[in-house]
Amino acid sequence: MIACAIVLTGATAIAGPQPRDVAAAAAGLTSPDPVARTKAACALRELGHDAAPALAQLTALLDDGSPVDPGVCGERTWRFRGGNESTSPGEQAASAMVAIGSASLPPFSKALQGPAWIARKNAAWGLGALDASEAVPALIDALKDPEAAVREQVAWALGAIGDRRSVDALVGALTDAAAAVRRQAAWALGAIGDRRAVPGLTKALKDSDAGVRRQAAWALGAIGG
Amino acid sequence: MNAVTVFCRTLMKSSAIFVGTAMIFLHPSLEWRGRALDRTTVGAQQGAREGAVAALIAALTDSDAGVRVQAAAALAELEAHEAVEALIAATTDANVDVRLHAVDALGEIGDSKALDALTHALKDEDASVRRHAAAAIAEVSGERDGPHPHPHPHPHPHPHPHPVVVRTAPAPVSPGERP
Repeated sequence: MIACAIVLTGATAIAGPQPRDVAAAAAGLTSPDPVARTKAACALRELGHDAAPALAQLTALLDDGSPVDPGVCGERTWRFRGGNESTSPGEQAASAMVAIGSASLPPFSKALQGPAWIARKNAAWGLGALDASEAVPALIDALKDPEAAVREQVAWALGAIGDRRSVDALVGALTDAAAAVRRQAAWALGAIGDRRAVPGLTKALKDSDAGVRRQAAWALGAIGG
Repeated sequence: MNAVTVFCRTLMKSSAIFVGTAMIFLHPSLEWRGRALDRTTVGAQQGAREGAVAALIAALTDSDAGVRVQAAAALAELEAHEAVEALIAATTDANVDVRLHAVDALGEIGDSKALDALTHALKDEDASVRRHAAAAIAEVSGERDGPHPHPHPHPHPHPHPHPVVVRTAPAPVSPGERP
């Protein structure tokens, strides 16, 4: 009897989460309550690759920017910016999609060109987090997104991926209208470490925004002599 | 058209292709052009570095202390000997972080011109500046035995969105920060 229970438990552990668990967790994704939607996305993220059956539902949630307290997903959820920043179902959905892995690349790429800027921003983050070098050309195009928050996230993604093809476009973004985009572009260029960025970063040391000047100085040191 | 003519034409055509291919690979002017290009690139990079160092020296007197800190750290990374005078001036900056990084940078650049200023920094009101000054003096004096007083910044931040510069975190780069 006991031996049988142990065997059964072991079998369950080896089999991992059953489709039922994924379905149960995914059900919350369509709740009218943004906290419930966020929690559902977080639960799916914990399942990692096994949440793949919920990929379409997670993708549908990418444009959901309802502000939610970042504490709803427990201690493992954190953000930097002073810690009082809210999260959203869309962010957590993107996070769960990254945990699923490369199967999320096509839906992220599609969302990057979609009509909802929140989805484009979350998709850009996902592509950067997945280190998707195949998405570099699309991300370079997205540096011209009409929404500054998207361009900022795209610049981060290009820096995270670290592909030298993006250097010229990022140097162009050093003169973006939004300071946040210029800061992120300077960081990305330092992260990529290509010397072609040196003249542009040198000009950025005279930017009107101190944050841009800080990042530019850092980047010049990171690129090296 | 007889068979001899056809044979000759074919021979001439294939010779032309062969010679053309050989010229592409062997023609000296192409090689020279390549070398000239290399020289131009190296020259441009040299000019770019000098421009960057000059701008970073100017940034040592930026109105924002965070910029001055980053400039000092970057000049250390570039081992910019031409920045020693400006870094010496920065060892008396009003901001303690700037003084700390200026002292570190002078230690890393290792120019003995900085010894007086570093000795002066041994009397800094801030204990960490005094400690770093002692380490920098040891570096400048060539006493590089023992543990390196400060880890070299690691410029490769991937996948974490922050520049992982051990001592010098610039303004947080937030959009990558996610659960």
